[in-house]
Amino acid sequence: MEDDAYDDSQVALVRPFLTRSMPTVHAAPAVNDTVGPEAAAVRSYAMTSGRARGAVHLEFEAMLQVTPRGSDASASLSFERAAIVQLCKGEILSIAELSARLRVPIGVIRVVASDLIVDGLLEAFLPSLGVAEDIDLISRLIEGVRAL
Amino acid sequence: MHSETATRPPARSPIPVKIVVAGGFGVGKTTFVGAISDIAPLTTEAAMTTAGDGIDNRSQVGTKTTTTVAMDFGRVAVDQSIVLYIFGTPGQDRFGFMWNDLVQGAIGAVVLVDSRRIEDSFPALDYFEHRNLPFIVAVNRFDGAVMHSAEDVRNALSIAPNVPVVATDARHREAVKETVLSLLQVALEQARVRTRA
Repeated sequence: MEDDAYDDSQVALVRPFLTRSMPTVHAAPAVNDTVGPEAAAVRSYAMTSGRARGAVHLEFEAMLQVTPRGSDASASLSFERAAIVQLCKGEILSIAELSARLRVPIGVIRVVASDLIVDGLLEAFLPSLGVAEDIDLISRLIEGVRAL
Repeated sequence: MHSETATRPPARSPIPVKIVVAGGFGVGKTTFVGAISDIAPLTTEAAMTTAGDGIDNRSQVGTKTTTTVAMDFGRVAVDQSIVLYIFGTPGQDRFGFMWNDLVQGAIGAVVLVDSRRIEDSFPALDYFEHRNLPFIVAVNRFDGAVMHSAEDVRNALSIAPNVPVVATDARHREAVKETVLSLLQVALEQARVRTRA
């Protein structure tokens, strides 16, 4: 299997992401060479129950923070749920950052994070829906970027 | 309405916003992101599952195949509440399905162009032209490259007169800042037009 032609599904979980900022809680057992793409696919399926979308639509830049309830519940969570809650305790992080730090594809993070929001363990800071018409926000951005 | 705080409820903080940097492979997207980001660029992957077409090497494994698209991104604390995410995204045609997801809610896009390989930017330009998203074209400088003027690039790429074409240097923070500001100005103008309509 390892000598097989290029295999995208395996890359999704095996390719080394940047190793800085490793999570304090390890989400998943390290995927090693003995795990084939079938296992990776099954694992993704198990985490999300096969769903491509969660109840809450989360953009890549949507930011997440642990609620007091999530903080209390963190010890009883497992796998990705635990890892996400743990990371979002220390700082407010986006879906994309969680994906990068946990080395889990963004689609999986979205579904699991959506579940955590529905369960009241995380709260989300969502991007403005009307950003295309938000003169005030864009003006503040211009001011802020100019001052960087 | 007499005090500033009365005119606007305090926004929940933080407010995430994003812009997208698109362009061909090797055009300098990650360098561009890194030049302005507060953090070293991170890499994330979006896995897309599609029905297997039976011609791939692992068709015996199952009926689905997964395509993985890597994106580099950075983040900038713009002020006390606004956090700007900058996503660098691959420009190939076959990633178009992911762009819809990525650009949803984006303030706008920078199409980064290598003047030696301008054709690499065609898919990104086509996409943003049809998407009604504010965008600008930024010609990245490369050492030793024959520099084409912004106007040459505009003509070669048939870019509409209302789309700015600027020169940039993805390695330099100030140049990247100016490029982002050019995009934000376009976004501001379009927001004004939209709210007037």
